[in-house]
Amino acid sequence: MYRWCSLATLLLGLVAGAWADYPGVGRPATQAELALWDSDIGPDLQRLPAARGSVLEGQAIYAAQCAACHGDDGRATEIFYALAGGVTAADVASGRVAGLQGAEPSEVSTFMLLPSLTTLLDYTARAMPFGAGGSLSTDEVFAVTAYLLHLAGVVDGDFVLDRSSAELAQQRLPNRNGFSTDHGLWPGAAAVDGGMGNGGIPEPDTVRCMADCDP
Amino acid sequence: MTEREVMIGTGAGRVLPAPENHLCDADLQRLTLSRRHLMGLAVSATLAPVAVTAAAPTGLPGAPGSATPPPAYGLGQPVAAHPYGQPSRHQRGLERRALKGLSPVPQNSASFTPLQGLFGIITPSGLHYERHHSGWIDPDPREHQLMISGAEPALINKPMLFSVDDLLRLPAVSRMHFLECSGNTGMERQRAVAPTVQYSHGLLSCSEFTGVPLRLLLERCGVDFRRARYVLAEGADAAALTRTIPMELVERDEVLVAYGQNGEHLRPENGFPLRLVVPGVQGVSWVKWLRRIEVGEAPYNTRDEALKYIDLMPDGMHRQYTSLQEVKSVILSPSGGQTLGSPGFYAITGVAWSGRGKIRGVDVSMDGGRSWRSAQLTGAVLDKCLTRFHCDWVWDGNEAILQSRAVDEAGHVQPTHTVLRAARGTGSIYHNNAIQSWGVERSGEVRNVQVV
Repeated sequence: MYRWCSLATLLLGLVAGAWADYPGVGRPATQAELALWDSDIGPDLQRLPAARGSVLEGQAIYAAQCAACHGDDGRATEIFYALAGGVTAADVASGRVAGLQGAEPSEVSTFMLLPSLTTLLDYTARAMPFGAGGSLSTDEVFAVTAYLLHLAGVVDGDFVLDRSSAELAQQRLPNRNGFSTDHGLWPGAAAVDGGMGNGGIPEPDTVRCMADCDP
Repeated sequence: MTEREVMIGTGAGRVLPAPENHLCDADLQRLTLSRRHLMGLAVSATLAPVAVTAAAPTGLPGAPGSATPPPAYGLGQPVAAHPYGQPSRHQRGLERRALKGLSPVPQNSASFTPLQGLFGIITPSGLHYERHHSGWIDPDPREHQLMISGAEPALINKPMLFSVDDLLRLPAVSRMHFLECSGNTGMERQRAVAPTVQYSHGLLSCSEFTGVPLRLLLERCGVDFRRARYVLAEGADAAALTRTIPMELVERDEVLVAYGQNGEHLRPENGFPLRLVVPGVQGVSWVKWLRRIEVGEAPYNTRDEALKYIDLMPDGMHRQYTSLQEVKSVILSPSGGQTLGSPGFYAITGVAWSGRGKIRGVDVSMDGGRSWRSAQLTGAVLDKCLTRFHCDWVWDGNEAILQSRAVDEAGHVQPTHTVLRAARGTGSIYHNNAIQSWGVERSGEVRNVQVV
């Protein structure tokens, strides 16, 4: 009897499992669709697309596609915050931008912040120029990024950005060491459990005073 | 009768709305003129209509000595005169508003919810605040699809495409949650700036969202949950905005792929036809016009989590992946820009919320934070949702500073500006959850002030 009950339970489970599969809802994506939709350049420098672009090539693309909003020198602020500027050779060496201390948001350029080269490649590829995202080829994205790296004083004028040189540029980003995830505002697993942050410890810790309080 | 007495006569016992936000341009002009009366400024004869209206308080329904007949309006409008209903024409000034100068590009900007005019906890969908990075779009739902893929093939057994109709076929859940931009109240990080609560706290809304738990879709695609601990969500707007979401929130069934808001389809400004719902987390992670979910093994370090939405600390370091919206509250009435018509009874009311769960309690102070009274939580107290509070108050006509302070179920107490600044400085425009102060002057005018 017990065995029959177990079998019935198993059968019911299979039926329920079939329901949970929701047959006919959604369809498998083809390899072509996956390639078409996979728009992001991921955070792993080792897995960059096989593309290349030089500072010189990037300069021409920048002049045609970017300078109208960002200015010839990448420092225009009328429409968006500056791309370049505010970075010193000492920052490039240390990986911490000294000018960030006490800075107002309007005074902070992209290269004063940029923690990772992939951030810039990914965003430029998907969303730039403003309103015409995705219109640059991957080579053009690499070239214009090489030019921006040069504008920001990170690389020389003969630099060519590709998979092999990306690590060099990354190790010279002025604010590459300027970020921390040691805080309580990440809602996922804590760093000690393989995630990020301190597990959500509230900060600052205040008391619920009701009378004679210090306002 | 002096002009001041006239004003107090018409406004007795009620909160006069702020000179902007509540009002259309004509109302605004009228109130500006009234305020000139109040301040004893010269008023020319051409402004007489205002004075006439104000000088005849006995003619107003409900005024002392007035004979108030039952209304007889005659035959009204036919059914379906407005196939999609509209607010009363008397409320036409209650609308979301942009802030001039916030951004030179209107497609990359924000508009604020008129919190001061709302009741309960639900934000009407048409008044939900906006924050777009490249303008809002209105994709055709017959063409829109949601791709679920992996950063590498091993992380997902079967990458899939879902149409909007596919998602509508699946078992749905509906939940009420607040949605707050992490930049809400960012203008106040150094000093009191915003004239009204619409601009100080209006990057905040609350809705019932309906959709499918993302976990259901990921399971259907055979995601390797052991390795894939992060989710990348991508929008179909020109910004192709992307954010990293922790898989833990997905596994707890908190994250929804939503198509419904307040009983109808999402509005285009709110992500039609699909948006991500990430309760308790800042609005930028609730990706609108959602078109792709990718699962990965590491955070993605995207533009809107590496160059924006990062918190500058006093030592020049930035905190990254700051996502939770912490315990916070604000009094909506009386609030900045409003005027108390006369001394007497007022129901102080506002909203409280926390990304860490339910609101445990709200305290209200009338003396700038020296003493506090427990407010009453009215209506539903829900997880990661606005909670309405109110507290009786008899204004004696003297100066007062009104504050509210929320406590959440995690035991976190909303901090003062002083305490928050001591911990984090004033450099970050994000995650300011400090106690808001409204200063009541003897004239009855209410102003945004800070107690530091």
